[in-house]
Amino acid sequence: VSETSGTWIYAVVPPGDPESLGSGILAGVRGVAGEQVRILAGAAVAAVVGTVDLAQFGEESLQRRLADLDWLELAARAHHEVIAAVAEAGPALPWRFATVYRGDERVAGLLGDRGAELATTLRRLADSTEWGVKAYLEDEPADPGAGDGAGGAGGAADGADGEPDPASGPPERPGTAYLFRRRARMSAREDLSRRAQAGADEIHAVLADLADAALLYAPQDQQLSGRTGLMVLNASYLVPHSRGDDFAAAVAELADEYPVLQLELTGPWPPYSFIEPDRPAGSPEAGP
Amino acid sequence: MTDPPMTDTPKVVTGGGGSLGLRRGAFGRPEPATLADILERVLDKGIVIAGDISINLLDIELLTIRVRLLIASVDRAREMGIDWWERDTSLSSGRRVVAEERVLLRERVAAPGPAVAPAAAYLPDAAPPAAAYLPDAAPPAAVVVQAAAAPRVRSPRRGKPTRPAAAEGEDGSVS
Repeated sequence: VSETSGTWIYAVVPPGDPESLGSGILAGVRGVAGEQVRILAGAAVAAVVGTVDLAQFGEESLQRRLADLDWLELAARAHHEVIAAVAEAGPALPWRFATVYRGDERVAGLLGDRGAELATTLRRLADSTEWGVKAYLEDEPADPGAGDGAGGAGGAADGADGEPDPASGPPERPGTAYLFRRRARMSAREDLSRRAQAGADEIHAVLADLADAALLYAPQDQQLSGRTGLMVLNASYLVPHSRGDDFAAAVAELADEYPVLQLELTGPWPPYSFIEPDRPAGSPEAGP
Repeated sequence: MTDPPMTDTPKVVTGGGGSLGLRRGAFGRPEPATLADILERVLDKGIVIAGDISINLLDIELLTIRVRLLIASVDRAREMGIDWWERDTSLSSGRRVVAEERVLLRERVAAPGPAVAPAAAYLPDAAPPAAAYLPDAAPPAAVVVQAAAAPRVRSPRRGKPTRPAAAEGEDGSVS
């Protein structure tokens, strides 16, 4: 309203009936500053926005707060919650986190300038949702140091299972036996992870085929994912509503088909990953 | 190929009639999407049209990278005060210890000097309780944390003379 407040954008939605959205879905939704989220109507599209204090969301302070990961978590979740609530009600284009304008008029200007383009993107994505699929190789040997090389972990595993060595000559000396065992274990592990990766690629190919578009994310760190397994696939798929069930069924089938891998389906997500048009499905642009 | 650990624990999430361990998060919020999933999308994706006040993209990318690096290392994350895994799970065992440690850290961090760097140097000595708490806290050394350059306590096997011998094969390449 004044020089001291700014307008944070969450999403853009079709222009129709913004009031009902505002009074309905958005009624209880709070934004990144705990503010009431509202609708700013435009001709071609409407924006879902909130008013934020520029003392806290100005360039400098925002920059500073972004480095505060506690704050970042809360704000990122809040941003996402607003977008998710809106997207649940209908088509919505998620906005990149931390985009602030100096007031509603500036946003109105933006909606005027870019409205047509945004409306086109909205139409393109209107009938689809994003699904996330991850695959984990759960059966890593009890080796917590997997990410760190074999250091102490190999030793620990050794003492632990002491399995007799397959195929590697008589263990005449403990040191040699250890090395043989270790090598066997390592190649088994390498083989396992190679197969896991191959499986992940195949799974991705199948799912990408069912989807209108696909995007590969980098696998998440084990500690971050909270899983003991190694993540070998972290992908998002843009799936038409009409094929949503098929897609979920396909994931279930693939889970049966690849018992080595554990699959996790997340979503539906607002179409964050598919704002940019024409990402050809099935062409991984970055190997995990 | 038979791999013992693999056959030990059969692994399909399908329970009964093919109900995957589906986590349905984003829209209905029965279960909140994980922070990692959200950050991946919220920081990196979505419509990008520069605002009047917006962090320039380079900064955002740096931030994203930084966040990834940071949260990839539990120790490092704890230093930075990220501890959602402690708050929202029932892993309460080491909790007090960790809390105390955090207080100590906070004090350290609050002390004059470069923001967080001292804490990194400080952590290793104070770490044992926390390490015991986190079941598989791998040595975070692999993660890029400049400040943690101080040598950490290595497991004895590491760096022993046996190791070079083991390197004759593809030992060193496994990561």
